[in-house]
Amino acid sequence: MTENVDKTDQATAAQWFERWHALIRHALSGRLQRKEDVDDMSQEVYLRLLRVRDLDLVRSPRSYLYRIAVNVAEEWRLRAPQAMEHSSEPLGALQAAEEPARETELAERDAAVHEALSKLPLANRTALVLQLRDGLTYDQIAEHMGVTRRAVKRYVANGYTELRHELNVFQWEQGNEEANARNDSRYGE
Amino acid sequence: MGNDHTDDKAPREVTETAADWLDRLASDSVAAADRRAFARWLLKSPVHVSEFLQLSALRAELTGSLQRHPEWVDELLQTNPGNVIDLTDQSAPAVPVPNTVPRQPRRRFAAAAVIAILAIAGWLGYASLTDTPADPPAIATALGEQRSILLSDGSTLELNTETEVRIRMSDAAREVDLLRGELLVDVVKDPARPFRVLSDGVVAQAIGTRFNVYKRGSDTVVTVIEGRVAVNQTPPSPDGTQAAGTVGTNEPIELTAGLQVAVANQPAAATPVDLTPEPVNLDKATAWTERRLVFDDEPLSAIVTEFNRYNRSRLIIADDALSEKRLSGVFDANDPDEFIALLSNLERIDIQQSTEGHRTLLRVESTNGERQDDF
Repeated sequence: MTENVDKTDQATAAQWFERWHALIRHALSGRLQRKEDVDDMSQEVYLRLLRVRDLDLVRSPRSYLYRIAVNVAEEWRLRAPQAMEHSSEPLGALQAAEEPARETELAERDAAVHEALSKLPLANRTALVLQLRDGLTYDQIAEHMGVTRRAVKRYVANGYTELRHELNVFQWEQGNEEANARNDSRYGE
Repeated sequence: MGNDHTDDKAPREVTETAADWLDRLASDSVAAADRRAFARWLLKSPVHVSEFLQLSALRAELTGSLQRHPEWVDELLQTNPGNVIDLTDQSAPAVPVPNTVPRQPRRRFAAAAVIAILAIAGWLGYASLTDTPADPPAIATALGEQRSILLSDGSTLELNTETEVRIRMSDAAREVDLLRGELLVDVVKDPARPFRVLSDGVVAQAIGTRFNVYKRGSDTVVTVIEGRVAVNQTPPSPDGTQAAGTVGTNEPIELTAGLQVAVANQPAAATPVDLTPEPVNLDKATAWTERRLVFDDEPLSAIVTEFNRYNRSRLIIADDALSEKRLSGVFDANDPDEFIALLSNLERIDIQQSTEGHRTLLRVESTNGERQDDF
């Protein structure tokens, strides 16, 4: 086998990720509202990963991970006690149903992302934008910002951490404010 | 809220490592050793798995939003002048700020697969923008990549696959050198500053309009979608560079919406060339912006050439009769399989795939003279 992952593997990883992400956003968001649930789900994904023999021989561990996550998420969706009547819809229907509302949904999410990004410290924000929008490597960002590579890694990680709390990627459906409100009450418990 | 991260189970090192893996795996060349290391890291702790999955989703959201909103970037980065990518061209006061943005891919998360290409193109573009002010920035797209550029006057350029442009904005004119490839221009009206696209001696000048310029091997095709465009040829200046804004040797011809003209690149000096505009299907001319390929009774050789502009694995037709065969249809530029499926319904073909993924199409000669036709 060559050193490089072939295109098919890349496409597969992207496809599995897309399915997994759609599931997370559309199915889990309403039902697995508490962070603990997300953690439990990750735990389940982890246990299944452990059962895979020789994961390091799998051609694309990333694609494998997403595939397992999709399976677990599907099963959890079916099992969720507060599952809504349409929860057993196949994912295809779920994604198709997404289309009409997609514009507004995107706009809301974009607004939330914008607000969250604006709140970030400038260094964190700059590192993230250069990485995600311009595709610069850590070294290139470090050179551009005039800091060390180590600092860039920290900026990116801190940026992700802040944004995750700000945006709560697992609860997009509720809208940012509601998600925040839920968080606040949870933190207050 | 936001500062209370006490319930965050992932220590910062884990977040850093997860972010690092996410970035490394997004590139399309991941070494086997890296894949093994990634697998080992995942298996170390469920926290790693959780963190990687969560950051994947977060990164996808951020990337999507940033791609949809190029206009954020100035605002997000400009607050500190030290961090602004300086695009200022001292020689020209009205400076283009080529706000280069990768177009949002149709398949949203297929983005991951092309991030490497964007990364390279993005970095090259970025690097060249920071060059000496004497060099106008050259902006290029890689194979299969498309990208929008917002100019400082509000006009937009849509670059198709394998395209390279150089943009010069001044008080007197707005000029785009098309070095190779194809672009669609949406011009914001400014009578004081004519907008020109220059392609190897072909000049297309517009005042408030939308038009497409495609530089092919030996000629340049100008198609007007809205408004009017004057098309002309200029002789190359002695130093080999194109004289900006030179009036051509021929009378300029004026194209109105729905017309197209093909002009030879670098014509022999002083040879007047007959420029005859032809009506054209506008939907077809702009289909590429949606990654569609529209063919209207065109030979397979031309069809295959179009597919090969967008896809790394090439199609080759190894049969003269087959390459002259004509076909009509609308296809996804990134999905040659669809085209091959249609073709194999019409013709008996044999497909040979090389190790690099290139496919050679051969016609199968029927042994008994009987042709298996449509079924």
